[in-house]
Amino acid sequence: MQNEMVAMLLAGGKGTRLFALTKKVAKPAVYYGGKYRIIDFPLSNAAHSGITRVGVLTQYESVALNNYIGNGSHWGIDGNNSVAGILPPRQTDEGASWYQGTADAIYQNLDFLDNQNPEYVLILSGDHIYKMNYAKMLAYHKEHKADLTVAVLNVSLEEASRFGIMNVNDDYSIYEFEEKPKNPKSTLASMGIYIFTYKTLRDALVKDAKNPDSEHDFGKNIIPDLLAKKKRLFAYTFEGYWKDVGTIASLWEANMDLLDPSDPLRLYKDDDFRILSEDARDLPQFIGKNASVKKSIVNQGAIVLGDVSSSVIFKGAIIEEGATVKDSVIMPGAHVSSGAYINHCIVADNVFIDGSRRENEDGKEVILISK
Amino acid sequence: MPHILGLANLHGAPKLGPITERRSIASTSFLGRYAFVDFTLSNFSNSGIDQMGILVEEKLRSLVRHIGNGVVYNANTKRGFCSIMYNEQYAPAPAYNNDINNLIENHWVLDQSNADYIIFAPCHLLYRMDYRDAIKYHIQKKASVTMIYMKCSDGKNSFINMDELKLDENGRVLEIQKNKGAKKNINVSLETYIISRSKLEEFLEFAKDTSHFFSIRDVLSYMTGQLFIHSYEYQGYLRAFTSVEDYYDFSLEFLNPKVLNELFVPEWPIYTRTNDTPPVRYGEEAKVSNSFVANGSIIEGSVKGSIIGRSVIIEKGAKIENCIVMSDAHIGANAKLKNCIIDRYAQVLHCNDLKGDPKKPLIVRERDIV
Repeated sequence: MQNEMVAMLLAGGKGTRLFALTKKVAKPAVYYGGKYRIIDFPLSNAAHSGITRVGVLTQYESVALNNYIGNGSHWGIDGNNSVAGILPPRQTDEGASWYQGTADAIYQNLDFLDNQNPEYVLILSGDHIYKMNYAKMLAYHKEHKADLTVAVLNVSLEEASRFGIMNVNDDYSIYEFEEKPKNPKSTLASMGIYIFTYKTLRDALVKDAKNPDSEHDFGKNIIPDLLAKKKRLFAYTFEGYWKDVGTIASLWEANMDLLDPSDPLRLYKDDDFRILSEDARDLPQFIGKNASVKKSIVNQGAIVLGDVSSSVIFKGAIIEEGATVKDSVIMPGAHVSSGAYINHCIVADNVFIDGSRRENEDGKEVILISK
Repeated sequence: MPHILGLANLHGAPKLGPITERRSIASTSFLGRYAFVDFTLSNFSNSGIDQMGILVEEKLRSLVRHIGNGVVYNANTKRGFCSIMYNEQYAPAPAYNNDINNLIENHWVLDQSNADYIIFAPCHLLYRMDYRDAIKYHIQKKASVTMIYMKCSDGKNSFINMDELKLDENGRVLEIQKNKGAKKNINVSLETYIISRSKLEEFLEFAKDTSHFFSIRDVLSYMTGQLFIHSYEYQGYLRAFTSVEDYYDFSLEFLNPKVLNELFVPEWPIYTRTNDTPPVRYGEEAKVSNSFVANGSIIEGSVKGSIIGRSVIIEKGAKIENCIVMSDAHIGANAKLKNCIIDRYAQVLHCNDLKGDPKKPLIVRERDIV
């Protein structure tokens, strides 16, 4: 059972709209939620779903990400039957080329998949915050004897034009895929999570690679091609918290969502489905004599001596006495000096904020403070 | 550097009242996220010692749970090891259950190790020490044994009943005595010994021939006249945890940044088991000051001058002052706690007012519901 499905995680994206946060790291390595990186979510999900073999496809600024993934031990993917393969583009007998698209990235690693010889392949992206048991999706895939199962989220009709939309029949079989439709026929948005029967995937990728007009993209090329071939495509509806953190505003929002006492992401619930992460060697957090911390999330290794409200504070961050941090995200090692006022901001890691700075006092829009 | 085997020695470790009823001090929670043994093993690891053992006297369960396979303490997970050494044979016979008999029983650890020297270090003495210079000194002096000590100018009030070394002008150990509080200036023993493998084997033989009741400390004390026992001075943070009151006082002392910075420095990480608990969540009415809080906790009430362990829940209206709350404890709404130690998994749900004396903290035992 354990090796029947291999996960391939697409982690090469730059995340251009995150600006300085992705200047030196790929988007999946961006910090989130006080102690995590975005990639902790899909990898923890995979680990808790019983998946022991994972390939991580990296491209943009891959060094930090590769080091972070290591042998997969942060997520327990270093067991006796595990593979945590880091797969950047490589030079081969035929030459060398970057990954041209999501489908091409998998195509260039068909040898890796052939070695694992899986029955099913799970394609994931490293850009989303959510908790999901992929084993349930696999059961659904098998039950429907599908060639491809696409995880979908039921969004509002207004939002639907921002997503790739799956148009389905009553039995949730997919008959059409529309990228960002002006007049959506359905509200089932693709989450970029696919389970392929490997044989179908392999054939489709080999065929796609030979097509010079293809953009080598799962949404634009592979799915329409499979639909044209009358393959069995099904939509699997996911219920729960899911967030694409592609922009500064959405990254900030996703952090603020954690402050909701109802805990929509279930970070403090489901003890057997904890989000696994790097083991930081910091002291427990210290809250100073004159500090105030309200409605916030603070990680170990942080030192809070000032006023913190409705904020997310990472390890190694220092908030001095007399500093005010409100509705903000303070990333690892950032230092907010006495007198400073930070409102509606994301402060990037290791940024020093001197005491004279008053950032975003009106707080109308979220701003990023970086080096 | 020669090959070294570091042995954490739990034999003869003091008991800390109710909190060590079901565990040894080695696996007792410290500062919310550590266990005492972490400091002993991190001293080894950070000194480049990758071969380790733990000489266990009793109460194995909690320690095994904490140590796991021990690889968090190892620089190289294949060459290094961290073996739990338990004396099955003498465990039910306290009189015989000493470190020497343990070493004889678990001689396989010495056999599998290529160590030229062995360091014994306790868990109830908390200090931060790079052993490399002491080992060099031991080799250079051609000593049989080197005992680590610290000069203390408050011998009348501190380190009472602990070993104290009488030294000659060259640093040779003439006698090992107990500090009875009679002198101001003492050389307090860190109960940390460096010894060559061959000398240790001689000790084991000597103890076998002489008395099955002899511990390493007894052998050293007995043989000060015949052996060349040298001393090496340690300077820095040192506390001896010999009672539950010590535990309470010396833990809360860390809320003073000066004390904290003596033991914790960036270049000397303390390794411990990871739990993957989420960051701490503070509620809208939370009021927290001068406290350590470990991950996984949810704080809705007020916390002052306290140490809160992992995954503790403190409900709205609860008031915690000068307390140590260990992992997975639950403090119900509106409970008022002052000068208490709340052990693991304990729940304070029905008693709304628990108050200990600053000199004698009130203790709620593991898993108790009050």
